[in-house]
Amino acid sequence: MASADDAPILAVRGLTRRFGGVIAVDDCSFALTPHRVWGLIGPNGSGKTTLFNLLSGVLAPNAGQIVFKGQNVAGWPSHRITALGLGRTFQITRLFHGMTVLENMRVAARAADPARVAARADELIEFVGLNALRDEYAGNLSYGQQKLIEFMRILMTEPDVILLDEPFAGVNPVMENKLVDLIHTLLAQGKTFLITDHEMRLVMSLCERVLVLDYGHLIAEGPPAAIQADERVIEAYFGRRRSAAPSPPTPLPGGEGSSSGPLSQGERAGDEGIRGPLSPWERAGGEGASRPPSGSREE
Amino acid sequence: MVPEATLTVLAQVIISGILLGAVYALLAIGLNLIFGVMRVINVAHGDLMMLGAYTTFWLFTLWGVSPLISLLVAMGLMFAFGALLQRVVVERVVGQPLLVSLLLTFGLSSFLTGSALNLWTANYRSVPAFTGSLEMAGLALAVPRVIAFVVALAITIALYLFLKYARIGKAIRATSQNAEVALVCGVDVARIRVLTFGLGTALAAAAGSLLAVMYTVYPEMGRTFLLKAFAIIVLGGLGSFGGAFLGALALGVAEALAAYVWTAQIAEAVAYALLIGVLLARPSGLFGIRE
Amino acid sequence: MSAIKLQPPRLALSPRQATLLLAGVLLVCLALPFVASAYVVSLLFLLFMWVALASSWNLLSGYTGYVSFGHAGFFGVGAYAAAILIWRLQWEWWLACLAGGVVCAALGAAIGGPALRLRGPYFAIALLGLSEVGRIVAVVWEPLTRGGLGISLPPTAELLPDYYAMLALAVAATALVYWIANSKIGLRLLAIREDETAAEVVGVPTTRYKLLAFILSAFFPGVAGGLYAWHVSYIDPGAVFAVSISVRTIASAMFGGAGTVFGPVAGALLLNLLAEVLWVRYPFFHPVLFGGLIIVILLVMPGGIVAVLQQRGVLPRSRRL
Repeated sequence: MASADDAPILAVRGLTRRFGGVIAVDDCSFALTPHRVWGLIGPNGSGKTTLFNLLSGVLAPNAGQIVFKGQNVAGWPSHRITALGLGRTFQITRLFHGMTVLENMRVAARAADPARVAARADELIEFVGLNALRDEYAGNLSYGQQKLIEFMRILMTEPDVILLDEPFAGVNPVMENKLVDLIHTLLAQGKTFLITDHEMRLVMSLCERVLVLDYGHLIAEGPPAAIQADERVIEAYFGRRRSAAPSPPTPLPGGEGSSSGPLSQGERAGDEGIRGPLSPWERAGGEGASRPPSGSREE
Repeated sequence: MVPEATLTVLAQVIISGILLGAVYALLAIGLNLIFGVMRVINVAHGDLMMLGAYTTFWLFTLWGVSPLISLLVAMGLMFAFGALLQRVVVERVVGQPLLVSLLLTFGLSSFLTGSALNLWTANYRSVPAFTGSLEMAGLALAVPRVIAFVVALAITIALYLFLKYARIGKAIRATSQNAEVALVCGVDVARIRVLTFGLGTALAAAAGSLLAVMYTVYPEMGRTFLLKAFAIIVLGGLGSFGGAFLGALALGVAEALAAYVWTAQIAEAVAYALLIGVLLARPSGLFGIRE
Repeated sequence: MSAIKLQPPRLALSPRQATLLLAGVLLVCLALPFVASAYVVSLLFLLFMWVALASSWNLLSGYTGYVSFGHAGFFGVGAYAAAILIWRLQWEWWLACLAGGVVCAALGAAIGGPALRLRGPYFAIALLGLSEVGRIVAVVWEPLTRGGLGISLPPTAELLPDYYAMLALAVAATALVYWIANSKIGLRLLAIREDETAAEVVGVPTTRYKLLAFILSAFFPGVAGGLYAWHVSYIDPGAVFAVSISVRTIASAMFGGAGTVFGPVAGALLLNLLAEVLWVRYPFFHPVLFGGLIIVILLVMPGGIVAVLQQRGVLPRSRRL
C-alpha cells in the first residue's frame, strides 16, 4: 500500500482552458500520488473530459502547468505525452474501425521487434477473452468489446498513469466486474489510475481518493466517504435546496463517517447488499448516467 | 501632398474593384448557402457559373438577347439544373464525411468543364452588349461594371430579404443552423436542400451572366472563380452572409489595386495568395465548422 | 463469440506464386519494346506514367486520408525543373528528371508542414490552389520559363530509354507503397486516416508521418513530369499544370482502390488504356470521362475494384494488396 508521502506522479497547477466565453477548466490544481486509483467526479459540464483532453495533449491549456514525471507537459502533442507514460481512453470509444483488432493493438506498440509486439498484443487480447475476434474489423465489435479493446490498446503503450474516461458507461455487470478486476491487477503491477464515471457506486468503491470538479474548478478532494459528506459537493450536485434534501448520505460499508484508505475486496463485494434508503450518491449515479451531449466542446 | 490626379485614379480603381466585388459576392453567397444547408463544399460551383455565362453568351450571339434578360433565363434554367443535380447526385452523399462530397463535386466540376470544352471549344468568348464609360463625381467608370454592380446588388438585397422574411427563406436559415431541429419543427429538410442547391446555382448563374458582360468566357473560367469564391469565404467566414459580401468587395478592391500597381496577371494571383495565406495562417477551426 | 467464418478467397496466391506472377509481368514489360510497335511502346510509357502518378498520390491520400487535389502541381514543377536544367544547363536528361523529383520533394518538405495542419477539405482546396499558383508562376516568370511560350527540348529519336525510365519509376513507386503498406509505417498512416486524434493518443507522431508521406508522394510526380517533358519535347504551363492531370490521377487511384497497394496500379492501367484508345475521337474527352467516373465510383464503389473483389470473396482481405 502506498504511503501518503509518495511524491506526486502527476500534478496540475492553475490549469485553465477557455472556449470562447466559456471557462471549461478554471484554475484547477491537484496532485496525484502513484499506485492509487483516483476518481474524478462532477456534474455534467463540470469539465472532466476537457481536463482529460488537457492532460493527454488533445487540447492545449490557456494557462497553467501539467507536471508529469517531473516535466511540464502542458501543450505537448499527445504522442509525446503517451511516450512519457500517460495514456487515456475515450468516453466514446475511438478504435480504428477499418483495421482489425490486432492491427489496432499493433499501431500502439512501442517495441520495434514484431515478435514481441505480436506476443504482447496476443497476451492482452487473450486477457479480455477476445482472441476469437483478433482478425475482425474493430468496427464490427460490440460496444462492450470495443471498450475492452480500447483499454488493452492503451496498455500497449506501456503507460504508468492511465486516464479512464467513463469506462463503465453502457457496460453490463459482468463486463463491469471484469474491468474492475483488470484495474486491480494493473494497480498491483504499479500503475496509477484516474477514472471518471457517473456510476457513483463504482467510483466510490473503486477509488481510494476522489477529486470533485464543478464548473471547471476543483471543489473537493479526499476519500470517498468524506467526499460524499462534503457540503460543497452536495451543493454542486443537488443545489442549495437543503429543505428538500434527502436523508443524510448512507456511508458505504467499511466505516462510519470519515473512513480513509481503500476499501478491501470483501467490503467492496458487500456492495450488493446496501441496505436502507439509497444515498444521494446512488441516486446521483442514476441521474448522472445520462450521457452529456458529446461534441459541444470536444473537437 | 498626393497629386489630385493620383487620388482620382486611386478612387477609380477602388470603386471599380467594389463594382466587381458585388458580382463576386453573388458567387460566394451561393456557395455559402449550399454549405450552410447541407455541409457540402461544392467544387463545381464555378462551373455552374460558367454554364450561366455561356447561356448569356449564346442567347446574345444567336438571338441578340440582352444580357439583362438572359440573366433571368440563365437563373431559371440553372436553378432547375441545380435542383436536379442535387436530387440525383448530391443528395446521395449528404451526411457523409465532407471529403466524399468534395471529391464528388470535384468530379462533377471536371465533367462540366470537359463537356463545355467539347461542346463549345476552348476559344475565348465575349458579350459586348454594353460599352463606354460613365461619368460620376468626376470618376470614369466602365458601363458594364456599373450595370453588373446594380444588378448584383439588387439580387443580393432581394436574397437577403427573402432569407430574412419569406417562409422558405426562414426554413433555409433554420436548416442551416440545425437540420435535425428544423426537421422536427416540420421543415421538409430534403426539399429545402433541393431548393437551396437550386438557389445557389441560380446565384452562380447570375454571377456568370454578369461576368460574361465584363470578362471573357471560356470553359475553364469556373475553376478560377471558384478559388476566388473560396478565398472570399475563408476571409469573410463560412456561413456568414455579411461576411461573404464584405469579403467579396474586399477581394475586388485588392485585385483592382494589384492590377493597377503591377499587372493583371499578378492580380489573378491575389485570390490565391489570400486563400493560401489565410488557410495557412489559421489552419484549425477556421469557422468552427460543425461537421 | 466465435469468429465469423469466411469462405477462403477464390484468388488467393501463395507468396511464392505471387512473386512469380509479379516477376513474370515485369519480364514481359522489359521484353516488350523488342517485339511491339513504337505506338505500343509510347502508349505503355504513358500508362506507366499514370501508374507512377496514381501510386504516389495513393501513398499520401489513400493511406493518410489527406486527399490532395494538387498532384498536378508537382508534375508541373518537375517538368519545368527538368526542362530548364536540360535546356539552360545542358544536363543529362535522366539526371535532370531525378533533380526534378528532388526539387519536388524539397518543395513538399517546405509546404507540407503548414499544409498538413489543414483539415480535410481545406487541405484539398489549398493544394488545388497551390497547383494553380504553380501554373501562374510558370506563366509569369518569363525569364526562367519563357511563360506561355513554353519550353522546347531537343527531340529524342530513341523510345527505349524513356520507356525503361518510366517503367522503373512506376515499379519504384509501387514497390515503395508495398513496402510501406506492410510495415509499421503503413499501419500508422492508416491509423491517421481512421482517426488522427486517437492515433496521436496511442503514440503515433502524426505530424512526422504525414510529412514523410507527403514528401515521398511529391517525389514521383516530379520525376514523372521531367520524363514526360523529355519524351514529348515540349511543355507549356497549361499542359503540365492542368488540373485534369490531378483529376485523372485521383480517378485512376480510386477506381482501383485508394488505400491498397495494387488498386491504383490496376486502376491506372485499365482506365488510361481505355482513355487512350478512345481519345482519338474526342479531343477533350478525358475530363468528362474521369470526372464522371469519380462520381460513379463514389456513389457505387467507393473502395474501388479491389474492395469490391475483396467483399465478394474473390481476393483475400490482406494489406499486401
